[in-house]
Amino acid sequence: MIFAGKIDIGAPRAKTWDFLIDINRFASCLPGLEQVTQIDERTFDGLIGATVGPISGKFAFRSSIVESTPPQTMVVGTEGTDSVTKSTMNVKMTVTLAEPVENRTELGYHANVEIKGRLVILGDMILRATAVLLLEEFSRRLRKQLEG
Amino acid sequence: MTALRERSEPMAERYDVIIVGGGSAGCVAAARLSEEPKRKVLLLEAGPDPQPIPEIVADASRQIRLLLESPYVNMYPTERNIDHSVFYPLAGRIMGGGSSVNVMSVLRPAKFDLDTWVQRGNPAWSYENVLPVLKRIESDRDYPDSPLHGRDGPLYIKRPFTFDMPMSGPVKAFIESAVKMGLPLCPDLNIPNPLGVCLAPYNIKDGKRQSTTVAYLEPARARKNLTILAEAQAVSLQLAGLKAEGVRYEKDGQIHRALGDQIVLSAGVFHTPQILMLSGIGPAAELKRHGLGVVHAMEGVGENHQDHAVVYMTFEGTKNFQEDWVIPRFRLIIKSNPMGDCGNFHVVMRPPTAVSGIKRMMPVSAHLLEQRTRGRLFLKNADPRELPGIDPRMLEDPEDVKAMVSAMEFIADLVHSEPAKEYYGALFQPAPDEDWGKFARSTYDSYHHGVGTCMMGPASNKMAVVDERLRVHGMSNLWIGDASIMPTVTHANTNLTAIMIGERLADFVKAAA
Repeated sequence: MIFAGKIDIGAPRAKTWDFLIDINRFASCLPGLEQVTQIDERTFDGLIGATVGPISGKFAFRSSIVESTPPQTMVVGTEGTDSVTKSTMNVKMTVTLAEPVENRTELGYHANVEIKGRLVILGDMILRATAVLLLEEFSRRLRKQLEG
Repeated sequence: MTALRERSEPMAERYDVIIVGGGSAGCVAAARLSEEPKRKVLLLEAGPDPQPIPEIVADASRQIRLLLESPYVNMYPTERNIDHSVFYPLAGRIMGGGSSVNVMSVLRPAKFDLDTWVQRGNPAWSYENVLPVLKRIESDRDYPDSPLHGRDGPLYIKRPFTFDMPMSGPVKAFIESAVKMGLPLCPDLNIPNPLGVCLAPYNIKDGKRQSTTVAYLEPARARKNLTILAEAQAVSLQLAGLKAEGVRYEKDGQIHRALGDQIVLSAGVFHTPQILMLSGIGPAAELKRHGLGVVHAMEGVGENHQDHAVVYMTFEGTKNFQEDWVIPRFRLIIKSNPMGDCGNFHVVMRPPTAVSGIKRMMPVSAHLLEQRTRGRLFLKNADPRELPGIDPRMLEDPEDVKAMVSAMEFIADLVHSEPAKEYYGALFQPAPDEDWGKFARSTYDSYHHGVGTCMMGPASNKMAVVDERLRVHGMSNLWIGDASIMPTVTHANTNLTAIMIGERLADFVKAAA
């Protein structure tokens, strides 16, 4: 599954960049994180809980900044496993920052999500909408923190 | 992949009938054909035959975990044509096939479906001819005395949910909104052409799945004339010209042979055409592409694939509540076109989904029960262990897309009407202002009801693979009995129709003896 879009932020590009590469501040924008553990300055582990009808599970993942060209682009790789089906999820997200207008940042994202395992059975019922809502909530929090 | 070694067997075992595939239809055929003690029957199943049946299979309440966690499901990665994104049709890989892994709803084909099959040159499959077979299959606990239903058949059938039962607030509100939109209450989904808020019958007895393994094969296992070989994958037919003489199968890393007077393929919509093609029976160009010799050119093998496209809509969940189901025990059957011949959509309420940190989600799914375009099944290579590929071609005909969008609009209207809107908030997916047709084409999933890849029809139809008595055109002693023979996909879940095909196959083979 591919998710792509843009987020308009009322803050300068350099400030946005600094925010994104600070793992603790970045993680504070990720909704639903039950645990965050910083591994190094480019990597953190996280845990998200989910319930589908009578079935509950956890999704444990590790995210790393694998490429960065300050203050323009970064590539974030995420690998995770769900606790119910033991399926693996790999996400490669490319983030680009532009400043078309002074003191405003246009954040573009392109995420390629690959799932291996039975979790894909629930893919179009749950995962697509979940991803869209996670991105929506992330955008809201990011704007609030940078613009507030 | 490692090469398989051909076992040197001076004398292969000989049977009256060999059935390839112990799925929903194959188990039925094996049980029925072995009722005659003098008939020696071999049932070959590629998947395992665990005994006792594992709880994850037997316990009906664990059905979703069975799909998500067990090793008994094959996934067939399939690309949507619009953007090459991938979805996964499923099939059972265990004795009982689909009946061992499905959601256990037992829906009859609509009368309209059987009328269509008759119009396509198969008069033996009229509703009047098929109804007695459907009745003898079932032991319907709710309507044992109805002229439409059976009371003494091997398959236990009961509707676990009735309109006068206590129901949760969201289910009650969903049903009330549907009724307010003009849908009738339909307490029995297995009437000739059901429509409205329909109560689904299930093959669940005392909380246990009644697969064809349980309902048909278990009572037959002790028969001396029935041999059951599990984890025995057919790799090709043994042919003498246009006559089927046996089956080559792989077990424990070796190739074995079994000889039979009658050979029945019941390996399902994906593997029956695969075995035919690996045996040199199929589209000549396709066979040559894989270096397979052409024994009997049949353009229809693997063609005519149809399935039901499912599209999910996701709404905001406005209330916090828990349901104990993933598939509810009712569904709406609607006509996207009021002038249509029969209900062409299932609309299914889905369980609330909560991911911490984001809004609660309430999905509803629209299941298109017909497909105007035809897909195809193809070999990826000549290795029998490789899963075949599927070109689905679902939601390609503009009329199918139009119908899907119409059903999606119906869903949006329903959940935003009183009283359902108490539980359903804003629409998340698709976005209200996006192109819903494009959304449907790029996100549809399979209802896991693939059929039609060895279509039944008269010899005058060059795409027909079997005649109406399920004999492969142009071949001797070769039969097909599974969902692959359906000329058109039924306007219903397909498992009961596959069971019915297994019953009829047994009748036809017996009559030919």
